[in-house]
Amino acid sequence: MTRGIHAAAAGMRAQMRRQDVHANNLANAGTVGYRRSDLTIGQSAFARALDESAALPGADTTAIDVTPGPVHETGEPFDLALGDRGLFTLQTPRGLRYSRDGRFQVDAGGRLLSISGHQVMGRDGPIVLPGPEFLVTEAGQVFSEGQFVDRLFIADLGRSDGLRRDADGLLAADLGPRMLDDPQVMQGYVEEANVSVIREMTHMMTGFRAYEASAAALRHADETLGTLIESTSL
Amino acid sequence: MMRALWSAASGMTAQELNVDTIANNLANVNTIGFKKQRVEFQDLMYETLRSPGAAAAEGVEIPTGIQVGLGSRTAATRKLFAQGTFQETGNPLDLVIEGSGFFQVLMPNGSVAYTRAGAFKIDSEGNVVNADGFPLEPPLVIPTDTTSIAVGSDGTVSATTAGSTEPQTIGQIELARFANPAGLQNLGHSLLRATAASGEPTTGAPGIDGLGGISQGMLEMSNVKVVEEMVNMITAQRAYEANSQAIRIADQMLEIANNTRR
Repeated sequence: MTRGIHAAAAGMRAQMRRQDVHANNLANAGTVGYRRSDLTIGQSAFARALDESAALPGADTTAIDVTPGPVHETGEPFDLALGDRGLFTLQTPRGLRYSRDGRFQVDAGGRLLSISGHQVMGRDGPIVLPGPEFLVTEAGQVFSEGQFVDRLFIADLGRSDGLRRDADGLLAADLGPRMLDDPQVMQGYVEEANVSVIREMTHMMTGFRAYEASAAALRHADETLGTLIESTSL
Repeated sequence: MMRALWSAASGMTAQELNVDTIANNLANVNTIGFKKQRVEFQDLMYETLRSPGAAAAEGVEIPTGIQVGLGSRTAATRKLFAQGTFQETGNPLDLVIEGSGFFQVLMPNGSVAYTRAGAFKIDSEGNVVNADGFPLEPPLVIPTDTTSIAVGSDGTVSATTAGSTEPQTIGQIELARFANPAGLQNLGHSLLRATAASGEPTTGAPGIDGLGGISQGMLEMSNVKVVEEMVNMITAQRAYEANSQAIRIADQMLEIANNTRR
């Protein structure tokens, strides 16, 4: 009897979650290296709501969109950006984590750190610079004070569906990383978020209308039920 | 109530700080030795509503879960030490460092502060001081009957006194450098202080050991580029606007939810 109401409510819930995802993308439009999220609303939310008496939360999924963002020049030696593929590899207490954010810095001991203070990995372990000079070739080789230090570990994690979000804006992967053979590292550049304000606003507007429609459906289902109860009551 | 409201609010707060920093950079476009700052953002934590890899049913695994982000946060404001433009003044105590390194001045509390602003002056006792009257470290005293001062690129200071034709060496300017200059703390007045993050200073004569050489009769202006700051300001404003729209949408949705029951 109340299937329609539950189906409409499930729709409203899903659209609200969709807004949450796109609002977060918008909030991070200025975050260097940020990869936007997309929410796919599972069809089964509605299908199940109509089949069964109670609507279960749908099999919605969020995916990380790994398409590259625009790159812009800063001229800062400690700003690195990557070409179309690959991720910087960082050492954290929880294990290896990955990021497209190449705004690095050194601490007093010359250790190369990410913005959240995690050590940046090279092929032979965390990178430590012997001096303040920092030169990176396009292939990711690091030089300092005229000597070769290490090669940046630019991870190739294959497809994006094995990635999940972790603390400090980093990405975690279930699979072990493979080093990218032909990375493209650009020194003095940062990669912007791959968020397009127009696209996010469009998603939010369509989500808003879908929500409105679901709310109207809910109201109609409620009214029908009301009429039914009134007409059958004595 | 809705995560979108708070995510968008965090985005607006972040852009506000961004505009504050840009405004400060622009306000200091003509400040000698000023180094521009930039705000660095990160995405905030994610709420995992369903973990990827969890079992949906027997033998069925969810390939990707649901992770909803909660907005953005400010990770740091970083000082960018790119070289500023040089301006010729002809004043013998206007000095620039061509490369890395900082002048050292002794503050009234006895600690040493670091600066790129090389507009030095002579006080009533002949001491070489900065614009705030803090003496150069190590101290440099100019004899009262000096007619001309010459500063070499290696930091040696020589003075020619009245009645003499031969310049005499009267001191040496030392510069300091840091492993991580971005870790220095701003004190205002174009001064910086060493912190645990910057590391201990390494001092030495200009021109050697990675320190820049000194040029006399010039000043290093700020490294702020007005066009760049303007572009940053426009993007910050538009991002702020987009986030405010997200708040409006979230608000209207909550209104609809409240009106479903009549």
